[in-house]
Amino acid sequence: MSLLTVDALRVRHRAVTVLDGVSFAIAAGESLGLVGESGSGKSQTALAVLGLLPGTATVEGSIRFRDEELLGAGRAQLDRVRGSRIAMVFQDPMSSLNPYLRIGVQMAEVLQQHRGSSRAAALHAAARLLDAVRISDPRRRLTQYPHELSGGMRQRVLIAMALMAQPELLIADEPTTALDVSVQAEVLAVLDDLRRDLGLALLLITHDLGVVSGNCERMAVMYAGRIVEAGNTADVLTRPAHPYTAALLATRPVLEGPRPIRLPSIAGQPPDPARRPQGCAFSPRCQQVMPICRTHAPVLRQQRDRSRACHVGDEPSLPTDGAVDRNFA
Amino acid sequence: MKPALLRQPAIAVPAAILLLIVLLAVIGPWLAPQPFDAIDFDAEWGAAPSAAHPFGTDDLGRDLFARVCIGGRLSLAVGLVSTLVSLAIGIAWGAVAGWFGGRVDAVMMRVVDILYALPFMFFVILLMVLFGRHELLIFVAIGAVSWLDMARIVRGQTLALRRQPFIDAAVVSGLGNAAILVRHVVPNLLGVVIVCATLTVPQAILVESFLSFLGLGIQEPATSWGALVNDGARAMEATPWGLIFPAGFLVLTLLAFNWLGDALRAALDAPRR
Repeated sequence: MSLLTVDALRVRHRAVTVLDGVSFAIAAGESLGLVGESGSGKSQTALAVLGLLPGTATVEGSIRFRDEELLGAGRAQLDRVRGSRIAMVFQDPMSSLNPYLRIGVQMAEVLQQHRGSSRAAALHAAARLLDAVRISDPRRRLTQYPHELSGGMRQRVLIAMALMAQPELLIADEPTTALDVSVQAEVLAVLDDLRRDLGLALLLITHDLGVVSGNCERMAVMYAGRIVEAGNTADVLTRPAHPYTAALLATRPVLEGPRPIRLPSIAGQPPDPARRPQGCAFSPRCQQVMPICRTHAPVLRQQRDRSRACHVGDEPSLPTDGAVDRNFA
Repeated sequence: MKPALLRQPAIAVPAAILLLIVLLAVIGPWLAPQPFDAIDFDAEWGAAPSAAHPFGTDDLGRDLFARVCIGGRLSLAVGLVSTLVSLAIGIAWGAVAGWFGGRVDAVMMRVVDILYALPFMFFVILLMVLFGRHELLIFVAIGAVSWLDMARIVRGQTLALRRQPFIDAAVVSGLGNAAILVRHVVPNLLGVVIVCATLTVPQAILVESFLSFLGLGIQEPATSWGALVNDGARAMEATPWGLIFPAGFLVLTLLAFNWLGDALRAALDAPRR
């Protein structure tokens, strides 16, 4: 059974649709990478799962955690799940820690809230976790303030903090984007080890294909508020089945051989969410575009262990805009 | 407060000045040659400062040093009370309004607007008419308006804070509203609150002086710096020391508070990087 099931999630901010029928599922202990450009809806998905979208947003569909529907759940119900069963690591380690509280106090808070632990017991657990994320001298770190730690250390503190209440699912929204490459590798290694040790499920949101390939068993590619392709990470990266994924992979800089004068890029711009083209959102930039692409939006469908939303290569008799196949996961 | 703060001269100097003034107001009356309401029949009325009367005497022959000290007690007490009120009500009101937003915010801030719009002198005179003249009414009147600025400032800061990632992080870790407000929002308001509080003190002292100057405040023989300035101003050609000493203390206190507030704001801004 899936741990988290997101089904036909639609998010609108006034007239602008930012998520348009996003469906995916994560099994216990599994890691899923959600990739896409800026504005493709990755972070909106994470915020929706955690109930963090502003009250003015319209959210439709379903977000189930085990058997519990989180969409439309009250604050009290959300507070029981958030932090203790689903935890989140934010993008910016510089501003995600309260500058006025000692590291230990902030970490202990989670356990005191959810488990009713004593401060001493919570601090003990915090020290153990700091050790697990490979922070030296954890006892001393607990008494320090965030500004006394480096960016990489703070991100590891955030990871440790998210794990305090032993959640089943960790959502990490671009956890390494604000870090330089060497620190990034270190933080990702920590995250990966912990995931295996604790049997944690991971939803990793990133725009970095390298991060996904190293850390996620499965991946889903988002474009303009929809998932366009999903499958095993290695499969998707070696044999992309959607023109967008293929184009994305083609933009990776090559380290061997003669260097190109310009780095390859995908021609055109992602569509403005307020004025999405009719049919497939990628059609204006697609190399393999067909007439049907401009009129009918393709539906995400599973073919063997891969799901994709594309007309190219489909049997010509399938221009359906009907039921979405949600069983790809 | 960290001891390191007191090592900064911009904080230590005004803090020391204020401490001296408070000390003088508390123990000064015992050091004075006679009680603040006693008349020295040996000295001439309106005597110049001398060994017997360090600040001179007023036009009734009362010792000015004792009166300045006693007056300081009331002026400082008004400042203290109004600050406590503005801290207690202002922070709670502003933080709750800013955090919950929407209708809660609208209703709470309209209450503040209405109190703001009320003419202050009218409010004071109304209180005097209803309850008669009483020292306590000065505190009530000043307390009732002193928290409004604080509430507005705190609300604005809370609105800005609400968008900070660490507040989102606290929400996501499942903390309740009360815990987030007390542990994450209010501590981060500290810098602004301290500045606002140090500006509330001189403001309240000034308002009290103003009320007493108009004759609506403190009544003889009790006194405050404002009342002393009023008395002194009337006889300033003949006995300037009657004006100079209370006014000097008033100005020095206000200056020290403003100075302290400015320095504290600079020092308490949390290092974020």
